[in-house]
Amino acid sequence: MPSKKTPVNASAKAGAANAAGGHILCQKPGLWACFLSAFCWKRFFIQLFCVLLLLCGLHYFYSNAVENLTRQHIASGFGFLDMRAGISIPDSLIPYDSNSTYKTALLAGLVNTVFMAVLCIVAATILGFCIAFGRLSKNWLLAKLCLFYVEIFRNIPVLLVILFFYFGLMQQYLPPVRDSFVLPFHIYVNQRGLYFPALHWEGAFWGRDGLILPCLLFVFALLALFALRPAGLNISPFLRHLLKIIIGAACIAALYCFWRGFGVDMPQQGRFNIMGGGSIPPEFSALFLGLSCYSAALIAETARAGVEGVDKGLKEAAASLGMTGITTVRTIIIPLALRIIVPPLAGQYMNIAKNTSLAVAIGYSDLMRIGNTVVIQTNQAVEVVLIWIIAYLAICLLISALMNMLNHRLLFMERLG
Amino acid sequence: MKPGHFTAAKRQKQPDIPGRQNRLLLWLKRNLCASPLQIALTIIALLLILYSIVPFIRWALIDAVWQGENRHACTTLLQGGLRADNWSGACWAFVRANFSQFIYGFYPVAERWRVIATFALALLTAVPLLTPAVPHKFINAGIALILVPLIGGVLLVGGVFGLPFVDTSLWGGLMVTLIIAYCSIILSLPLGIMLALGRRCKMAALRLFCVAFIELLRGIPLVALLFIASVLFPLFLPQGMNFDKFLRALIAVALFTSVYIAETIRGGLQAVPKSQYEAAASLGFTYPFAMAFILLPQAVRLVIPALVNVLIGMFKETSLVYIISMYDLLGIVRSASMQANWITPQTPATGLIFAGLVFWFFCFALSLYARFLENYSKRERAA
Repeated sequence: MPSKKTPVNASAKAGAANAAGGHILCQKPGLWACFLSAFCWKRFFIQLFCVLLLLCGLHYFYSNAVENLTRQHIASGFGFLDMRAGISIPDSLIPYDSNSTYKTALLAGLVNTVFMAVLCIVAATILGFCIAFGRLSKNWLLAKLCLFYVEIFRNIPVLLVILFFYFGLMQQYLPPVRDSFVLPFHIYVNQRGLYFPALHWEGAFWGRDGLILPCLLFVFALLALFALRPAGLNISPFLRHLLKIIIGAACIAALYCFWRGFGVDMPQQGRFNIMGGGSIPPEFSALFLGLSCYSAALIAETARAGVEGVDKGLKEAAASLGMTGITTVRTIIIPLALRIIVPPLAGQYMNIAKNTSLAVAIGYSDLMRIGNTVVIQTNQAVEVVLIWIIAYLAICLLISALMNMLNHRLLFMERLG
Repeated sequence: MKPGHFTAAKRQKQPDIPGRQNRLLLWLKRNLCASPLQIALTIIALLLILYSIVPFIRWALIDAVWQGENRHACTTLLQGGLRADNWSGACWAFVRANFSQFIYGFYPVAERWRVIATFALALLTAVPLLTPAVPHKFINAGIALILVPLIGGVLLVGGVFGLPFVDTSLWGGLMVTLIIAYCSIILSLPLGIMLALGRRCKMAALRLFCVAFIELLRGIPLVALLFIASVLFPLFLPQGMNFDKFLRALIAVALFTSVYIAETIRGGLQAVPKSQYEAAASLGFTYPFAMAFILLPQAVRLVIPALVNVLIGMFKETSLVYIISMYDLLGIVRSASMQANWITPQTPATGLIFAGLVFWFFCFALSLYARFLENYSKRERAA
C-alpha cells in the first residue's frame, strides 16, 4: 500500500494536489518529500530505467542509421534541398519549373496539400450539413436517401472511394479529347481533365494597370458609408437616400472597371488537346470528390448527433413561448447544436487534412507524393520523413487551434446569453 | 406548433379513421407532401434517385455480364468483344473468375485449407468471446487473443511440422486484410491501455513519453507511417537484419490504432467516478490491482461503442497498405483488373465495387454489433 509510506510532511501537499485534480493512486508529493520516501525513490528508479532504456534504443537505432548511411554514401542533412529537382509538377500552384530546387518542389507539394485540404473541408462541411438536415427532415423519402448515403460511405475505406472515382469512373468513362463533353459556359470535360474559361488580369482599362479608377471609386464608397453612420454626417433623409444610391452606383462602377480589367481566356478544342483556359486534372477532381463525399458522410453523422443532442425540453420551451419553426432553429437549436458539433468536427477536419496524403495513390502532386519522389531520387529518407511529420503536425495543430478559437467563442456566447 | 392551436380544434380537423386504401394515401400525404416545401424536397429526392441510383442499378444488375471467360465477354464489338456498341454494364464475370484470388491472394492452391482452418479457428473462439451471455471471458480472451494467433501464425507461415513454408509475399486478398485487422486489434488493445495509463500517471518521464508518442502519431497520416515502416525502418536496423514487410506494415497499423484506442480509454478512465479510485485505494488495492480489477473494467465498459468505432476505422485503414504495394483486398482487386485478359473499361469499377461491398459488409456488421452491445449493457444496467 504505497500511500502509507508517504511521510507526514508530504501529505499536506499531496492532499492539495489531490484536490486540484489528481487522484489518490497517482498523487505527486513535493520534491523535498521525494528524497525522504522510499515510494518516491521507487518511482524515480522506474523512470530512470525507462529513460535509460529509451536512450539505449535510440542510440542503437542511431548508430545503425549512421553506419547504413555511410555505407550507402548518403550525406545526411538538408543540403539536398538546394539542388535541382527535375520533378515534373504539372498542377503546381506556385511558380515551378524543371530547374527549380527540391525546396521549391516540396513547397509546391505543401501548398497543394493545404489547398486540397481547405477545399475538401469546405465542400465536405456544406454537403455534410445538407445531408444531416436531409436525414432530420420530415420527408420520408429524403431522410431515407440521406441515410442510405451515410451508411454507404461511412462503411467503406476512403482510399477505395478515391480509387473508384479515379480508376473506376474518370479513367474509363470520360471521353477522349476528340469527343469532349461540352457543358454550358464553354466548359469541356474529357480524360485529360476539366477545362474552363479562365480570368486573367489584363488591366487595359483606364489608368496605369487599370486599378486606379476602381480603387478610387471604392475608397469614395467607403468614405460615404462612414459618413452615413449614426455618428457621422447629420443630413436630411432625402440626402441620405441620395447618398445611398450614389454609393451603390460607385460600387457597381468600380466592379465594372475591375471586371473590364480581366480578360477571359477561352478554352479552344484542338485535335489532340484543349488549348487555353484553366484546367483541373482528373487526379485533383478524383481526390477532391472522393475525399469530400466520404468525409461528408462522417460530418453528417456528427451534425445529426449534435442536433439530436439538443435537449428536447428546450425545443418544447421555445414552442410554448410561441416561437415559429425557423426562429427556434436559428436561435435555440443551431447555437446549442454547434457546441456539441464543433469538438468532434475538429477531429474530422484533421482527418480530412491527413487523408489528402492519399493523393499518392492516384498521382496528385501533394506533399506526400513529391516527398516520395524526392526519396526515390536522393535517398534522403530521414530528412523527408522529418519534413512530412513537421508539416502534417503543423497543419493539424493549426486546425486544432482554429477550432478551439471557434469553440471558445461559442462558449462565450453562452455566458452572454 | 403555433400558439393558439388547441387540441380540441385539432381533433375536429382530423379526417375520419382511414380505410385500407386511404391509409396509404394518408401516409403519402403526411410523409411526402405535407407542405409545398415537402413536395419540393420529395421531387428533389425523386430526381436524385432517378439520375443516380436508377442508372447505377441498370449498370450493376440489368446490363451486367455474369458469365464469361475473359475480356471478350465485357467489351463491345468496337473494343474487340462480344457486346453491342454503346453497351456499358458491370463485369461480374471478372469477379467470378478471380474470386479465389480475391480471397487468398497468391497463396498456393494446395495449401489453402490452412487459411480456412485458421479462420475457422478464429471464428470458433471469437463467437463465444463476443457473445455477452457466455461466461469465462478471461479464459476465452486468452485463447482467442494469444493462442489462436500463435496457432494461426504457425499454420499460415508453415515451415514446421511438415507444413511447406509459404512466404508472406504470396499472401493476399481478403485474407491479408483480415489478418492485419485481427492482429492489430490484439497488439493495439494492450498497447493502447498502457499508453492511456502512462498518459494519466504522474511519473513525469513516462507521461511525457506517452503524450509525445500519442500526439505525434495522431498528427501524421497513416500513409506517412507506412512509408516510415517500409522505407525508413530498414535504415535503422543493422546490416543483414531484415524484417518481413508484412510484419512491418502490421506493426505500423497496430501502432497507429493503439494511440486512438489510448485516447478512447483515457476518456473512459476520466469518466469513472473518482469515488471508485478512492474506494480501491481505501480497500488496500495497489495500483496494478486496482487498475486491472476495478477501474479498467468499468472504463472499458463505458467506451465499448467508441472502441468499436475505432476498430471499424482501423479495419477501413488497413486498405492503405495498398499504397506500399501490398496485395490486400484492394491491392489484389486493382492488380487483377490490370491483367491482360481482363482489361476492359468495366473491370476497374466492378472490382472496386466488389471490394467495397466486402468492406461494407464487415464494417456494417461491426457497427450493428456495437449497437447490440450498447443496448445489451443498457438492459443489463436496467435489470
